[in-house]
Amino acid sequence: MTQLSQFIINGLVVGGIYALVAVGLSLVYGGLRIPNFAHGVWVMVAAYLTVTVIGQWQINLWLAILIILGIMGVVGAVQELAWFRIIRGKSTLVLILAAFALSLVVENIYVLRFGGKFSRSFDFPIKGGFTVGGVVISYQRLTVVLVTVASIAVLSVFMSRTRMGRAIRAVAENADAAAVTGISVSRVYLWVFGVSTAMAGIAGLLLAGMYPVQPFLGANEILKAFCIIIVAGKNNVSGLVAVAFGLGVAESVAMGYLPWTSVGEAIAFAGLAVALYIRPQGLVADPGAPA
Amino acid sequence: MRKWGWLRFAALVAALVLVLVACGDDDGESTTTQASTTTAATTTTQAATTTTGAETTTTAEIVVGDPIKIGMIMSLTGTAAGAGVPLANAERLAVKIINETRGGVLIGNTLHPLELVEYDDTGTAEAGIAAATRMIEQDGIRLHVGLVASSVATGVQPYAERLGNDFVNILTGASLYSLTDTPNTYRMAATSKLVAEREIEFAVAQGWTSAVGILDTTNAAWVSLFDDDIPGWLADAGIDLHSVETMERGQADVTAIITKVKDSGVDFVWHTGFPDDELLFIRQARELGWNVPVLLVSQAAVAQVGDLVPAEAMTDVYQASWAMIQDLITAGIAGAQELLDAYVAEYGEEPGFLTMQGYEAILSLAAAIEQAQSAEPADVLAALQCLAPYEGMIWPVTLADGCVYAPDRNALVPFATSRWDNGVLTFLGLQG
Amino acid sequence: MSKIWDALTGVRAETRTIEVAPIGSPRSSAELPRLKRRHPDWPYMLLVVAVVVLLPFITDNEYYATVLILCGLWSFHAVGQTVLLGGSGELNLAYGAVFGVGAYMAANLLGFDWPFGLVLILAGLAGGLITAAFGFPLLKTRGLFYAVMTMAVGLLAAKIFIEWTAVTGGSVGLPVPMVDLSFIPLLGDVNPGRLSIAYLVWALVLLGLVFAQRLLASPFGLILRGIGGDEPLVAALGYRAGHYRLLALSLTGVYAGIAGVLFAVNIGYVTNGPFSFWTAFTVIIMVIVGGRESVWGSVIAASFLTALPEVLRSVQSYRMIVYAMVLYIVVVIRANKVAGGIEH
Repeated sequence: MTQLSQFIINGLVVGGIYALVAVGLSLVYGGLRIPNFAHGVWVMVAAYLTVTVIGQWQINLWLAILIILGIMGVVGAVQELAWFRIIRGKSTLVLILAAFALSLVVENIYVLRFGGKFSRSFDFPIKGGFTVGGVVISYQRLTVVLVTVASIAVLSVFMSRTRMGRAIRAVAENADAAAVTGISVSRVYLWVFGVSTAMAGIAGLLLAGMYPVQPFLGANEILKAFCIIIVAGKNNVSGLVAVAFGLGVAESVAMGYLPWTSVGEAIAFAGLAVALYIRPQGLVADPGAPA
Repeated sequence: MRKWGWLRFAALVAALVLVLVACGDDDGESTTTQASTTTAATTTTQAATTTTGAETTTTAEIVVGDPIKIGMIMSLTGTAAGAGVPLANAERLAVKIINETRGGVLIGNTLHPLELVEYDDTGTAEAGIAAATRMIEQDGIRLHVGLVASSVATGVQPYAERLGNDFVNILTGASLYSLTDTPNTYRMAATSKLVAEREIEFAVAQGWTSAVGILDTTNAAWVSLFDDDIPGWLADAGIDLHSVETMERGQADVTAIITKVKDSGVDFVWHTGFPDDELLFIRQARELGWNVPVLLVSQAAVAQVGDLVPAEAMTDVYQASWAMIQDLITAGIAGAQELLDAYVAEYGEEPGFLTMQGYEAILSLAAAIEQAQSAEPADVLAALQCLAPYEGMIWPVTLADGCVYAPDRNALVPFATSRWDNGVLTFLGLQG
Repeated sequence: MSKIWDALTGVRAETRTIEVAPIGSPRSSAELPRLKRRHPDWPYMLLVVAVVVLLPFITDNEYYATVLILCGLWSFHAVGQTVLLGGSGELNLAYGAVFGVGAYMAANLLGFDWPFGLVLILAGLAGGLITAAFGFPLLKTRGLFYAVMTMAVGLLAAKIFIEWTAVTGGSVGLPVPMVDLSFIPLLGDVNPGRLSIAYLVWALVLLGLVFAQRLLASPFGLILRGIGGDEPLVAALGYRAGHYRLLALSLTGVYAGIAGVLFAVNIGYVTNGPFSFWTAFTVIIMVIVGGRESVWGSVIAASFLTALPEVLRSVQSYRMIVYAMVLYIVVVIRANKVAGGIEH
């Protein structure tokens, strides 16, 4: 029983990362209908930033977090301005291809720059952990889960209470109507991308302390994030979080009990296949969105 | 529409012209980002120094000839880069040292500088085969020193076999024993079989009686060993093999495996993966509160301890594999300290796993060329069959009847055992 | 039966009062006019043949044959994907996995001394059937979901390739026995092994190209394009959209299977690396760059993009970046023409 509990706890940590990435992605995909496959590389970029800023330059932790999030936010906005704006409104195929192209470019730049160096990580400042009934919970991993929940909560507040948050939701529902009420759609796009990439940045920050940082970090997570969004519905934050944690736990338990290690990964896709087969428009019907 | 037809035609012609140019372009250049090919030899004539095997006269004038190109297919990026990069550095350093101290290799009265041409196999077999194809067909290079991942080397092996006497292949890692079945393939490293035997001896000496094995399913050198030999060997040694857990090279999260075997109460974990994976395992195991002794088959890259794995986690970790430079220095082997200093001066960090192999392999090839007095593959192969010891040889390689490479084409490399505690490496002993 | 099909594929023909066949009697595509071809193919084909045959006389660097083979392989891939992408505009990201099936079949069956021609045909058939098998349930989805599903299938297959060591050799891989291609007549005698493969590959490229081109120009292709543009409309006209989509998808599988055999025979050793989603995506890049609906465009783009890193060695390391930037530029410039098939 303890073993199962340990698997579940481990799975929650992985699930937390999935949730962060999925929620961040859903901002752009749900709000702006742009399937941003490049979302994963920003996780990787943030991880490299973390390793350098915190690990190498030894800047104060909180300051570093602010810096990194700030940088990622700006990067996100620049991403919209430089890469996606020109094809705004074009067909989904165009957007998918452009997003993939961006991810390839950034990934390979990092391969060129860092591929030949040792993979790095950084020493998480809070060490140790505690044991509850035979289950070991490290403070680091606990932090991951807490930060995930907190970030998503903050995001929800942002979306419902602030002006920009409401503007984003307005544009997501009906861009033209929003424009008529005086909302600057372009500014909203910038903000959405910025916030989305900042969320990816949080994921990268957390990952850098857990996994070795290499140029293909995040490639796995983005795929699962898409699966999660498809299953849970792109605008349904609580659904996304639930499915994400569920996926993480399912993978962990599967990897633990089944003899083939790759099975854990396959769970995501098998689950997706079944879900989509049952309901091709996604498990959660989206009331206001076009099918 | 007519217009588009002509445009297409023009495009087709352009594409074909490109293909033509592709074929005409037969000067290969080094393609890696960190290409550091050799410095040019000095052009002043020098009195010949006697080098091993060569008969040179001290009165003849020495001329500088064309560089001899040596190909190096190495995992410079990808999941095996942690092993490949130090190896590549060592090879580059060896070439540099040869060129700077001796001017190159001497054939007759012509001094040929060495030129290392690099190819990145990214840790995958198909990129390795593509690199080999380019090296052999496009660049016409027939002397190769390199390869670290057995999975890549097995991909290249059929190709090497087909070339027969027209190719020299000196492996610097790639410990799958069947690779040296090919007559043109030599290895300046130990086979995984030998490493396994030595490590089991070490485990027995530690008094360990039970183990969990961690197997990287992408590591060709160990997969077959675990299937066929290791369970038997462990049983013979009185060590109970609790289970063999599998993972993939580069897998980021091994907490599931650790959780699975944590409470098994085994004496040690035997991790047979690449350095990055071994360190990751140690880190995540310690995080989950499992402080079991861990036996590695590679050596941890010194640069990564404290970074990829916290120093405190690197405790009760053992290495019983081939000797690193640091081990040789502690054992008082001549020349080791100078090599370390040269490495640090060149690359700004301490050398890691497999550095010795890269250095010695290049030197042995240079020696073979000089012994054969020819850079033709067939002649070099003949020289390698019994290579006399050469200048600059550091590794106290036990000679097999006076030859550097044994009849099975492997060099008898020394083994070293050491132990990590709180991120500090303590050398325990050297076996010749 | 047709009602079951309708239910499964989620598309129902609606009854209208104007010129629509009643439910149950699908309209045959034979009633549609055939598209006339604007310019003949044969001069280009002749040019290709000339290049492949005359190259050994122009250069004596052994490597040209390898470049020819690589360009040919990728062209073959691109032609295969054009059938789907240029028709209904859907993305088959599981292409790499089916490619792998063909390659593993080659490694295993050639190892049992099966004749090469038989293996080639079987691989094509297997590729088509397997693709049809996973494509059938996928018919319910469209657009982005369809693409993600094919990606998921591809990834599942990748896991199977790693775990099923008896058949695939796992991560370590399998050697491919040498095939005796001496029955292929060669001109010039440099490196006969590689040159034979080059001849074979390009012969198949030309065959595949002609087939794809005829297909896309035929009524079948017309309907496929219609489905890409406005599926409900085409269905309303009485055509079973699911049939066409599935058939197009299966055809890409046939190409993938055959390509797998050619690849295996050329490279001599098969590991699971090349059978990933990235291969499928690279092929898609080539198709888009060459013009989504143009088969010759796919061949030219594939050859160009493959030959470029081989020609400019310094570009090698930047290969994927170059591909990605070219893709982006093409997509931006032709954003309006790239549309279709994947509206969500």
